[in-house]
Amino acid sequence: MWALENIIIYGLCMGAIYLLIAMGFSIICGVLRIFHLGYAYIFPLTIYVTWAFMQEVGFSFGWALAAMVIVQFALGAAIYRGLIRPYFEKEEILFTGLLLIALIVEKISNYFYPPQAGVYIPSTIMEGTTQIGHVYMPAQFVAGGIIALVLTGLFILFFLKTRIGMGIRALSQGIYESKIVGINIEGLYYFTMLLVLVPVIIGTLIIAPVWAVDPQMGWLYMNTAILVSVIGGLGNLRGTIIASFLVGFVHAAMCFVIGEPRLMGAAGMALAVVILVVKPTGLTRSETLW
Amino acid sequence: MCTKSRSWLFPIMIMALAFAFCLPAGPAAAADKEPIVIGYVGNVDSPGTRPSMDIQKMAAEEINNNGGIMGRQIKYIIANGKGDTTASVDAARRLLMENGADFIFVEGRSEICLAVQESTAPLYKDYPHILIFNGPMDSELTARVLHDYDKYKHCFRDWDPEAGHYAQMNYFFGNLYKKMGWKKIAILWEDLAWTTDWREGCKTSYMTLPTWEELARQNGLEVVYTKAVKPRGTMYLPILQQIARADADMILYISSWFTDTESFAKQWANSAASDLPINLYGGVAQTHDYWDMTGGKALGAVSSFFEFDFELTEKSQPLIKKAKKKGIPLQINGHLAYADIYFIKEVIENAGGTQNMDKVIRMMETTEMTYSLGTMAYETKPVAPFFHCKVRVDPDDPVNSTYDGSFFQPMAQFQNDGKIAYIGASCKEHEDDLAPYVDVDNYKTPAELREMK
Repeated sequence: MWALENIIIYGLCMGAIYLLIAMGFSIICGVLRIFHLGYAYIFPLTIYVTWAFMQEVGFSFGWALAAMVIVQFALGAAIYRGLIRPYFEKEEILFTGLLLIALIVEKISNYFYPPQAGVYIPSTIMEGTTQIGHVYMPAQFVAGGIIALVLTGLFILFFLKTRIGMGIRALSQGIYESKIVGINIEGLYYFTMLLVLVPVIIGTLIIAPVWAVDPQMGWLYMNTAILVSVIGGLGNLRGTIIASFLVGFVHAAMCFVIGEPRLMGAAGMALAVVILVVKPTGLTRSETLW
Repeated sequence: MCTKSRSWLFPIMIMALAFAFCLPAGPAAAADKEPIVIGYVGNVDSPGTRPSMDIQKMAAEEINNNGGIMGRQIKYIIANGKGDTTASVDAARRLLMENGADFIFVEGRSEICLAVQESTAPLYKDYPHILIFNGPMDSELTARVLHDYDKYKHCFRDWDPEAGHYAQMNYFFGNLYKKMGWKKIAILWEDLAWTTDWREGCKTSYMTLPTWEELARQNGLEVVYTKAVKPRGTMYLPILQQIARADADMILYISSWFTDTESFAKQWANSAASDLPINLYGGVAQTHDYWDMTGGKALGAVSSFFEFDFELTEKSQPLIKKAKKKGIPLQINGHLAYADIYFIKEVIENAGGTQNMDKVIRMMETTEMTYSLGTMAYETKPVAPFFHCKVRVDPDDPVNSTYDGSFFQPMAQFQNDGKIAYIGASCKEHEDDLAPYVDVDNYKTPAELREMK
């Protein structure tokens, strides 16, 4: 009973956090139809740009966050304009370029703020520990889980109910068809590049007070994003939601049933293999956003 | 009988002598003016290795500014091994074959050190050098020096092997933990090679030592939970949940500078185990930075601490102040790395240069000096794996006996606002030396500290 209780609570909380981490990656896969190997840059950029504005410019945390979001949006737009758009059809250049961006952000972060620099973002929403039954959890994680679910709901509503959202979904189903019906493809691509930053930034800020913050952090989280997106079906938001919680439950089971947290990663991979063997496109049909 | 005058010889001799003096100096003379090349192979991005490099560079600059070593400047080269074995081996070989390194340091990861040692040993004949391992613990690194001296005589370890940590742990279990009232302990292990002997027991042809669980039991403690964890990226919350359920009194985390102990503290502070004291074995918790890295979540964490504010040797405070001024964090390996450069200076001076590397090796074995944490010298007792390691415990009784003055290690606790409270020594031999600065009554439980906030 104790194990089951833990699996449910931890599975839900970890799944919700994984969802925040993976949602952006999945949307990019679905809309732009590229495997965004540079996705890892968003995580350290969130932390270190915020920190730089606080430390070097003297901004308050709120202003530093606002400035960081502007920098993220500017860089996201620049990446689209300077790399994705011109090399959209040349995958080898595109992938290498995106990967290099992530590496450059990591190296620059490490140059100015190596791990021992003591970077700590005060993005705690809820202090202390929450007890649910016999399970203890940082209140921050619980708050993060709730935010993840609310944000996901808003994203779904956006894609289902708004004109822009429907445009993006149309784009995810077919570029040429979208052009024919007069959708502003270029504008929506830009918009999507910026939209995907939102869940990642929020996820990073939620995780930061309770998990590792270092210049290499992006790779760890990108691995999770890739795993979840592949299991869910690349580029499908519905599949990403299911996969996030599935991975969360598998990870929790590894900890509380097998009792071996070192196998969490391996178990996630094994799950991906099993699902891809049974259903090669992932849990839901790929290449459609919803 | 020849009676001819030989006065013509005199001017010829003068000319010959003048010519000889005008000739370029021979190889030996040239070597006397060439810089002494010291290289460091390590991951420039690592929070453990980078400070070692920075502080060695600082030491080299200090020596150069004061005239160098016997008039020769130090050329200090950092070779990025990227934390990767193959890249580190390549970097070490380049340092030898392209840069002509006289001394090479390798970062403290046993796996990397073993590979570098094995791949560069055959080059010693053509490229004589000294190879120093900066902080790794795997026994094999120095056990093989004794077993095949001719091949590995140039290898030294500026830290101690796994077996060298038994006396300290025996003291903690039997003394410090008892004073704290900790009876049931949970142990987390960084899942890398250096903790294997402690987890599984040291069972080699040259030494048999118990597991640390057994050592704890011998000291009347009960180990209620034990788990090996990934050095980085671990989700600790489920583990902490299980530790709390196991009814442990405290958590001992056998960590190093590779471990994400900052992430551990962040999760511990808001977990089911937040009231259980944590004792971090090694890593960034040995510096003030740890407080900032955890955003103050390290409140209550116990660790050895090496940015202390008192004078353990005459070299402690000058180094700590200099490092602080330069923003270099001082974990154990930082103190050692700095001492290494001055030790090399003394060795070269004692050997009269670096031309005769066999003589340099002999001087490495016999030179002794005081450094910021005690005595810098290498073990010469022919006992594996201690031979050619920095002195610390008596190789004949590594579980119970520490050399007096060899290595001072104050134990400390992070208290409110990042204040450091010193709570104990790490061996009975140093209790008197540390008595003026440490007091076990300074310790407070995490819950008490949170209440004082």
